[in-house]
Amino acid sequence: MANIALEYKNVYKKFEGSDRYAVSDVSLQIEENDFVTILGTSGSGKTTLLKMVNRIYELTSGTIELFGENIMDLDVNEYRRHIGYVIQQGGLFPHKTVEDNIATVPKLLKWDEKMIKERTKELMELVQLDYETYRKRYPNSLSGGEQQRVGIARALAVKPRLMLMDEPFGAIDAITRSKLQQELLRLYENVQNTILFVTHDVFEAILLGKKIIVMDDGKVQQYDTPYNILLHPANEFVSRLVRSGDQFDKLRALSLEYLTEPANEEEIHDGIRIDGLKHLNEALLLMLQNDASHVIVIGDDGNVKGKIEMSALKQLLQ
Amino acid sequence: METLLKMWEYIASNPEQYFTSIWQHIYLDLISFIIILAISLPIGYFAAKSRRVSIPVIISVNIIMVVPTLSVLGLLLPYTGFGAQTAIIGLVIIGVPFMTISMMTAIRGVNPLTLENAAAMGMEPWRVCFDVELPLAFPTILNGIRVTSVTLIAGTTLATYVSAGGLGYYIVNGLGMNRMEMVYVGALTVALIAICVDLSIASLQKRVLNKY
Repeated sequence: MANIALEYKNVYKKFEGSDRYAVSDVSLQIEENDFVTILGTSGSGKTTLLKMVNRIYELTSGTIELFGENIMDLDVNEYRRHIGYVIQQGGLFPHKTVEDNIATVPKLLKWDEKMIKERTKELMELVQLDYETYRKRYPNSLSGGEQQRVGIARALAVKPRLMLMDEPFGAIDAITRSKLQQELLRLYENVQNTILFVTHDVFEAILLGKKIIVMDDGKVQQYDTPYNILLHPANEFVSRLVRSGDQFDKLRALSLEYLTEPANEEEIHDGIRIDGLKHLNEALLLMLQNDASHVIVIGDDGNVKGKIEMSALKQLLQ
Repeated sequence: METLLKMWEYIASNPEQYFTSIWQHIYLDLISFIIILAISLPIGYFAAKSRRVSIPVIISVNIIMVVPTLSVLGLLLPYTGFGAQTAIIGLVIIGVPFMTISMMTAIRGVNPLTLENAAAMGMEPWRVCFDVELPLAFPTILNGIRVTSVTLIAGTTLATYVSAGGLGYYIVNGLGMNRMEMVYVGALTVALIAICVDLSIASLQKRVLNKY
């Protein structure tokens, strides 16, 4: 059983001057190193849910705990320095260079200069920005995608206890967005961090999240794996929301592991092999191209992880 | 050409007075400008932050702005008497409205999301203000400094009416004695100072803006 990184306990939030709750009776646990997406339409309370974590919004009642500590008991500035935060367009400081933007929190924590420089270099490498080319540039001279990379590097600077991302790819063109999504997943595999990611895009929520929180009307409608949300929607709202997307998008977003089942010797021998990091759409394509009824999933280490049956795919698409 | 020659002769006849006048002019501007900044920057800042401050500020600014410069000096004379102090107080009254409104606009122009983000990263409120908000508002604040300083340099020509010196001496006396070369010496020097100040602030502004 993994550690609980973040826990909401009966959390309510009502904004001044409003007569309805923006977030109402939310209780849920987020495990350490989980990548959780919060999915909902505008006004669903998804951003409010996120911004209460770094105390941009103060909660009306209930508690939020980070690794067992009530966040309201902590010194707010000290606490926030250990929470990574990425918003649309990165929220970079336009008057600071890329290098200085990334160094923001390390400087607040009074790291020495040499350490900051090394960390900045390392981070820029991590988000694939050439250190010498970019370090002295100002945010406005960067493309949306590059700005977002800097934003992510900045949020990761001090190895935060938790990363909060508020529709970070919302204002970015489709091709760049898809690239950034892949890179974020790769980054997540490498750095292992607990991530809370707000989006209104069903595809993005499924693609990135190991778990999804579906929000509507301030309440959690369902908190489950992408697979369960697609196949076993908890209620009418969730089912309408996930059905509104393209069926093939779901296959493109779901990784193979959801449908992987044990295979016997004969099946392994006969089956066409597929790289375990691919998604279900590619499994379907392989089966159709080869007129096969199953494919064999190969893990990172080269070992067989199991098989995926055509019948399972059919069931998913119903 | 003839006028230029006459102007030159006039200056050459008493260069000491000419340079003293320039110095007095700049001195009056500098002192009043420092006082204006000390008053306007904080008021403008808080007016941008809170409606409770901004409404009375905007109303007073509108009232002060309709009073002509010369009558400000006239109204002050019975209380503060002749001399530099009256000129300085008058200039401050004239300059404060411009600078306050510019400061308010500049602070309001900073993207609130950038500030929220700065706070979310764990910056203390004072650091958000000095490290993010003021630097981002700076180019717009410079706009206000530009307008205010040029207005002041022009307004200081009236200081001579309260015996505070400055280049207005040449204009007012030149007109009185009908010696146009005197008027030109005063007016052109004032214009030259104003243009120099304006251009140097503009170039500073450009340098800041080119960065981000």
